[in-house]
Amino acid sequence: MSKRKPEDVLKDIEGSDLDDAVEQVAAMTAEQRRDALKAAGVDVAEVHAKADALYERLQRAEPARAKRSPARIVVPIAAVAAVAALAAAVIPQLSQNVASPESTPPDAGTDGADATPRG
Amino acid sequence: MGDTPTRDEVRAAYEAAMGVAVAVTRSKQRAVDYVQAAFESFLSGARPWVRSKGPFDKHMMGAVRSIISNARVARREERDSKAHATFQENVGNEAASAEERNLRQAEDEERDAGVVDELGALEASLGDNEDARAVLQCRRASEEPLKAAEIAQRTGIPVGRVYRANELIREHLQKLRARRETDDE
Repeated sequence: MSKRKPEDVLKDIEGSDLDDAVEQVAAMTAEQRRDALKAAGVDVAEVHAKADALYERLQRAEPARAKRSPARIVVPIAAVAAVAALAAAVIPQLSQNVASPESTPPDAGTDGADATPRG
Repeated sequence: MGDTPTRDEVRAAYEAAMGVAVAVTRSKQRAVDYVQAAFESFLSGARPWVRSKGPFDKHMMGAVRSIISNARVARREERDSKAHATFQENVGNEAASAEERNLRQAEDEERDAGVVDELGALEASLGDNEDARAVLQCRRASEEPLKAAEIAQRTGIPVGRVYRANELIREHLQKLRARRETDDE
């Protein structure tokens, strides 16, 4: 029994060359890809030259790309988060000490650092 | 914005994209045009690449696939639009709206019937090629579009033979359509 519409099946068939080509090329090693290109009459050196030209364009465009990069936003956010975390850790301790400086027992530490009896 | 590939990644991606485009178009010049269009879309920021989501060559193969697919859809729509315009010219723009609706409905029904006929004719044309018949039946029975690897898994046919079966099915479909167009003329 057919579960898909006939026109959908026909569209799948028509587009199967694209999916097959992507799958096949993805499964190849770099050397196999170059061999396949050579077999199709493609000059691999020319392909590399075109790729290098695109890379150079990419490099020239990089400052503009970097200006729009999320990294410029992430760094300040990370800095603000770090300051906030530090403040969250330090402020309760400070306020506790300010509120009752005498209430802290001399041996409150668990690592023994403050366990020395006070004279 | 996405990430920036290295020179080696750009070369590998260009090779991979060309491999896909040449295999599909069988034309060096058209392949170059499609690959160039794919890279232009990347450079413009329309198709950003994120390194953590996968390798750059895979990203660019997907871009080429998408551009070729879009070009095909555009060509098909243009063809359909021309056919519709011709139909309208033949029927005449003065047709009463009810009559026009009936004609349009008849046209749709004829097209639907044509698609079913085409699929049936395609299956019949495959004769005793077991792989091709099994692949077509697998596609017809599926609820979703299937890749060759998935068809291989479902049918037990090695994926290399599924690729060949797909190629044969496409060839038969093209021949059937060419024959039908000749008959129509």
